[in-house]
Amino acid sequence: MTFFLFNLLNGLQLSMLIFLMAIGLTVIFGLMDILNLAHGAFYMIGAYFGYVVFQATGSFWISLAIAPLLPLVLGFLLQYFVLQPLIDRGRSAHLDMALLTFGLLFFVIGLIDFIFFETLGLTFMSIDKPAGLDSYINIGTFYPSYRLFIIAVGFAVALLVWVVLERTVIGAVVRAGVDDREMVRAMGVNVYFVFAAVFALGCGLAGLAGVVAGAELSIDINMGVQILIPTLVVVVLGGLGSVKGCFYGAMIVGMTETLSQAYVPALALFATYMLLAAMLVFRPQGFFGRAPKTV
Amino acid sequence: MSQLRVSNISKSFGALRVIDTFDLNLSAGDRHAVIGPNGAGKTTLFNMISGWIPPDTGTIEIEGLDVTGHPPEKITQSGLARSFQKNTLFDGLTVAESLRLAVQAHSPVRFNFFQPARRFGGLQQRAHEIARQMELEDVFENEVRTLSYGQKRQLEVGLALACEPKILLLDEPAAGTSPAERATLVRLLTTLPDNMTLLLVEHDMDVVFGVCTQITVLNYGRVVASGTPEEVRADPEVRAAYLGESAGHGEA
Amino acid sequence: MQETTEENWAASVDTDSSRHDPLDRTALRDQRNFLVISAIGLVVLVVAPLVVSDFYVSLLTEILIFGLLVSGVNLLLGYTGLVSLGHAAFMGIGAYTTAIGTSLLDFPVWAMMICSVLASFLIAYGVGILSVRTKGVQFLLITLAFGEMFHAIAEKSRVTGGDDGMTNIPRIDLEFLGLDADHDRVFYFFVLACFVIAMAVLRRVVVSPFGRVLVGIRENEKRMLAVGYTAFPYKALAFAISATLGGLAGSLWVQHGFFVNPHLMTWQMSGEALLMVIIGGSQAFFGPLLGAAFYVLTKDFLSDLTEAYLLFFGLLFVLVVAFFHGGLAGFAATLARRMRRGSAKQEGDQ
Repeated sequence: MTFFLFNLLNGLQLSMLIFLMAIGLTVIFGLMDILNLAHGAFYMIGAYFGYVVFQATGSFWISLAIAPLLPLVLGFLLQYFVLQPLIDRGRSAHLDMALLTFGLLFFVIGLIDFIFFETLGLTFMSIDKPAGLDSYINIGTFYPSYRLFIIAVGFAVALLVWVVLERTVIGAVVRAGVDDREMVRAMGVNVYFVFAAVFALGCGLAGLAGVVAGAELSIDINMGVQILIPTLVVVVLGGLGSVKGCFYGAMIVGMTETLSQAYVPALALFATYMLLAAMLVFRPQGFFGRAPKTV
Repeated sequence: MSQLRVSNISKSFGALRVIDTFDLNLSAGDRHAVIGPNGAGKTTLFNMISGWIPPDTGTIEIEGLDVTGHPPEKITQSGLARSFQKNTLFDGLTVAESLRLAVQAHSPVRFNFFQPARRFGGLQQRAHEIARQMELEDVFENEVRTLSYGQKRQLEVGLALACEPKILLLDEPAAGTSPAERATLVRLLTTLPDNMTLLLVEHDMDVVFGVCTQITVLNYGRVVASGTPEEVRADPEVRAAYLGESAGHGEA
Repeated sequence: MQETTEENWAASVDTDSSRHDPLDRTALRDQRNFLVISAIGLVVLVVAPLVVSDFYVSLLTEILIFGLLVSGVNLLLGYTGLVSLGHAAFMGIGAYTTAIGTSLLDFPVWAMMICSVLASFLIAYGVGILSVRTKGVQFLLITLAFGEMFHAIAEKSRVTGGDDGMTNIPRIDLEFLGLDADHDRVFYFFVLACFVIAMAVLRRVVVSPFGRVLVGIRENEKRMLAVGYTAFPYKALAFAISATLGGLAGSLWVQHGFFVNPHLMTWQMSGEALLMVIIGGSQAFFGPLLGAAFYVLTKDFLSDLTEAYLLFFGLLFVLVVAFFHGGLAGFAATLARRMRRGSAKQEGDQ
């Protein structure tokens, strides 16, 4: 029983980390039709910059507050000054942007490899957990308090995203945009600014996930690619563009990964991919996605 | 025998009934237009007949064969081809390549994957004939994206024609064209073979009265009137609902 | 307005009387260009290994093997407009089929090469049937999922050495020709022979009516349905053919390096295949080969300077997608067209 509880919490923790990634990816796709494969790169940038800030200040909290700002700003610049102008010049959003951001992911991995490994000689790094979150809590079993913190952050962000989307003007614009892109154009708001802002927030959340993960998992060159795959699975399961689906999708994927590893290790690597393939074969639009238009 | 028989079809999107128990019966060589204000359900009707949307109720028969619910490619193979209101062309290909593709779709070589396509001169020949028929001969080797808007509309019709259809559905062929381009289109449409059945959705009354001998007027998904152009023009309900000035324009 | 257009038409008819000839001149011209380029390319590929050092012979072999893989990827990407992120898996299937058959079961290499090609074709056809119903981003993700599933199998399987992979894979036995494929130059020519045959087959496919349908699907799938094509079987077969080239590449790859491990099948590898296609030029038949050559040679050159070669390729990839859609091949074609037009203009001026 305690073993189950332990794994359940681990699953929840992973779900929340993936959710932080997937929420940005799915809203960006829903609103702008861009499958941002560079999302993994922003996660890495968050983690590595978080490490730098942590080394400079010695404080986890300062690092957590400052590090996501870099991916946020970079995300804004990328969307506003690179991706949007290219789309306006007739590059199809769908595939060209997926390819382009994929190249960007490679570039960032290479750049980080060059700076941190080749120049500084660092391979596996991590950020120290802050005081108070670095021990275990007895909840029937001894559970690392930092993982509970991750779960809390995930729920807090989920709540915040929900409030912003459901209760604010910008949220209304975004929701309308996901349902019907043309409508936002017709509403006379500065669409490009909204796009860039949403893109930036998504990247910022990916960066936040990076910092948070940096204190639990190790910071290394493969981290971006490793998280990207489950993130993509979540986005597909939930339905591209669906916020609600993203939350449930993250739960399913996080639990599947953790529980299969705990109980059926032979299936651990497959489970997620089988889930993804099965979903795309039987219900390509995901649980909460819109059915594709026929005409 | 009727060539296209549409019986009793309806379609609702949510609470909105877009087409309400619509009937249509066309014989070989008919020239029929469906007109009506925006939102009357014309395009939905076309999408149902050509297989893009399944109807909620009713049946569609082509030459006595029930094709209700068949996908678009099957409907086209059954002898009904359509054009689109919004240009749906192969922008990166030439006119020749586009037409050849459409011709090839109805040739037994379409699954041939090991002989050079250029050996099948018949495809090219037929594509060229259609280009001539649609007055696209001079831009035959040009890329579609470089064509004028009017030429693109002609190619829209040409691609449907290349399917060797018995029934041709044209969805607002004159949409967005200039008066000169429209005149060309009317000229081209009047030269279609006599035994080809034509069903047209169109806003422009010059095109409708220039090409068609039978008209159905649709409003809010229901048939308001139907008959010869003269009958429709004289119908008071139609005048009130839709034609208004356009009818006078058509007479002029 | 109307009159001037007609004048222009009249003028163009005068200067080019071939316009009204219904013969398919574009295809004939294309075929001529193809034969000329192939002949030049073949001469280069035959002469090059005779004049360069052993090390570069090995690199050339790699170029041809990657050339096979990415030419297959290009049948999907460039011709059909489908982006697959799982193609490395089919290279892996080809590689493991040969490796298992030769080193564990002691079958002759030539037989296992045939098996590799068949296995990759059949498995890819199955995957294709399931995958090509989706489009765009969904297609990209489903191929990623299948690719990673095969990768996971290779990593988990104990027979194939798990993550360490398999070593001591033999090369093909060419003794009946009096040759020893363990010599890199001999093996190179064997790979070249496979490459030429595969590319000849691929060429037949892309210029066939089937190939033209693929291009139509890329340009406008909706219209293809409207003119009466069932797109699905075409896409599934294209997927299978494209993966078969990957399977052949994999079979040659294990022989080239005498070993195989699951890293060959990762989605990063599939990504690098896309990179080669895009950099080389996805709309040109030989673009992918150019891309493979550029990739292998540049990576070798960069590896002296840094391990972080992705830094460079990633940036290049972004720039090519953003600004030079034709890639290297497109760039060369534009250059050639400019020169031709330039000289034509000079003649016109005189």
